[in-house]
Amino acid sequence: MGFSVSASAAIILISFLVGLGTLYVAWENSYLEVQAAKEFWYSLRSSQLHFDVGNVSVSYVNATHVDVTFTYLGQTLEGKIDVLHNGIYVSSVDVSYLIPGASYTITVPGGDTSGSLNHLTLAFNNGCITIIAYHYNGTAYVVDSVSIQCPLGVS
Amino acid sequence: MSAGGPASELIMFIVAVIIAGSVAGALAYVTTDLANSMKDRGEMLADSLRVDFAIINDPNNIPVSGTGPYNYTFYIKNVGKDIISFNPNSVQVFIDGNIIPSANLTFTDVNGNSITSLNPGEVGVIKVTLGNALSAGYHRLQVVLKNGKRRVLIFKI
Repeated sequence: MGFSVSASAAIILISFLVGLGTLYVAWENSYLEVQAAKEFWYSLRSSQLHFDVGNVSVSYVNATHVDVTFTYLGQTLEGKIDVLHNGIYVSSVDVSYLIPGASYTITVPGGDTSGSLNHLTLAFNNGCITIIAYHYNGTAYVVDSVSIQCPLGVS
Repeated sequence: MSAGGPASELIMFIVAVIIAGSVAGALAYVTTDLANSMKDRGEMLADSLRVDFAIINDPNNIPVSGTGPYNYTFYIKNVGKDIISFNPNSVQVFIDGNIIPSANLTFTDVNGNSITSLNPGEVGVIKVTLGNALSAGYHRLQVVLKNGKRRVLIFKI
């Protein structure tokens, strides 16, 4: 009788311990996966919150292209920039990395010497966009306005 | 104990082991179920954090073509870590709160080739076909992914 009780108790205890081990492994794996995803999410949100560009200028390259020069003022970001000219996707440029305080010049389609207002949209890898309004004044391109939008607004 | 003592002891032992085994089996089943649920929920939560996208249109310059029907072009950039399913079955588009039927949506890459998914960093194009042109003024575009992640763009025509 005593042996039966001991054996039963041992079986239940061992299965309980195995169950605890299984639960712990499952919890740890989920926790690590969620932590890694959270780290990415915070990093993305942080780069959007601190996103900024300054010293924007546009200069003549040829009839179809312009050079856009800007100083990146946000957090370090991968450097793929997608470009829209007057709302239409025209190209993508890769500057490897965007580093805070560094100045970048990219050559993009957007040449227009007619004097009318043009808009270049630079879409960065964190989803933020910079919209540059500019026109040609007969001798050089003049930047009229620079605006920034990140996907944190209306949702 | 009588002469049948060892036999009854054996029977009791077998019964006890069977009962303990059943309890252990039930415990293992419940534990595995809990572990799987935990894993699934963890994956779901991690997915929702890793998946992200942005509508990168210039809100003042939405490309439109055609003279009825009208094709409005919207650019979606995958800014998350995972591949986004990018097709009419997994993406829903609303303009001013009205859902656009999947038959009126075309999903392509920036070169016009039909695609079904978007890699991280890639830009995809959603062409929305409408019978009537959007009126002059402000409009609200909402794009919703399969996992519920959504983005809104207020644009001006």
